[in-house]
Amino acid sequence: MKTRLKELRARDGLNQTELAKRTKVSRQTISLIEREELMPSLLIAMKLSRIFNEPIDQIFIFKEEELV
Amino acid sequence: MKSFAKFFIGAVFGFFMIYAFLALEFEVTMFDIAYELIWILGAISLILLVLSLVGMLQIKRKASSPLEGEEEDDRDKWQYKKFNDVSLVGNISIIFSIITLSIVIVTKQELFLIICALILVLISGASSFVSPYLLKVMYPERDLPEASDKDYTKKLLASSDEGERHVMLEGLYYTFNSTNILLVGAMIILTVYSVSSEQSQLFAIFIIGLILLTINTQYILQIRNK
Repeated sequence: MKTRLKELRARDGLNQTELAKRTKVSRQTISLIEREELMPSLLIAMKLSRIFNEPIDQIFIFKEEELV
Repeated sequence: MKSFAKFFIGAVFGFFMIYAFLALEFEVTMFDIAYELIWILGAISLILLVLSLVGMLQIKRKASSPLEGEEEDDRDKWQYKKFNDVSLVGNISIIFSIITLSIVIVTKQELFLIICALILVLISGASSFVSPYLLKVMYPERDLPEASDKDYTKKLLASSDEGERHVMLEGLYYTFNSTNILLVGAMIILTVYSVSSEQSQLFAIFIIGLILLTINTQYILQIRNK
């Protein structure tokens, strides 16, 4: 799984701490997701989708074989 | 096949090492060096305690400064690492102070040393109660439990998010495995020492065995009942 979180965060001028506060998670969690070391829960994915106004599959990009 | 060869070489090496130790007939007595050891371990514990308190003050000072952008992220990264460093140093200080007190009591030192060692244990132990306060200073927006709360550790775990749990799980999993290996290793060392020094360490071996039984049963029951 690849994520565009860092790119979207830069686009909207948000730092990790601000995004963490808006998502109501820790900055460590945002950092882990950005580094692709943690696949977020559906709830966090939905929150991120709303914050960036992007569909989930445009924030988290899966390879075709991962979805089969 | 490769791991079998490694295991076989390790077993042969271990056998000869234990055989050599058994033939040595050595004995380590704490009584001769107890007084010096007490001062060295006590001093290390005190230094670590001071370092931990200084670290706590640094975190408190840095947490109050208003920052934005990348600087805010950098501060959070620094605070997170510093908090973990402070916790580690504080825990080592507690362990060293307990060892110091144990040596003082076992080697029947003078009352002054008993009181000093006891105070060191109490102060280093009390310093660990500052951690919940520090967490609140670092993360004022989060709903974290108070140190005085009943089931503090349970509530703290409940208040952590999935990223924090992921990190904790990795850390605890490796720690659990290494604890098992280290305690079994300690039992082997104590058995070899008992035979070579002719000083029975069976009580310590029994206690370690009991700890191994407790932690393994606790772990299995925790995951089995979910």
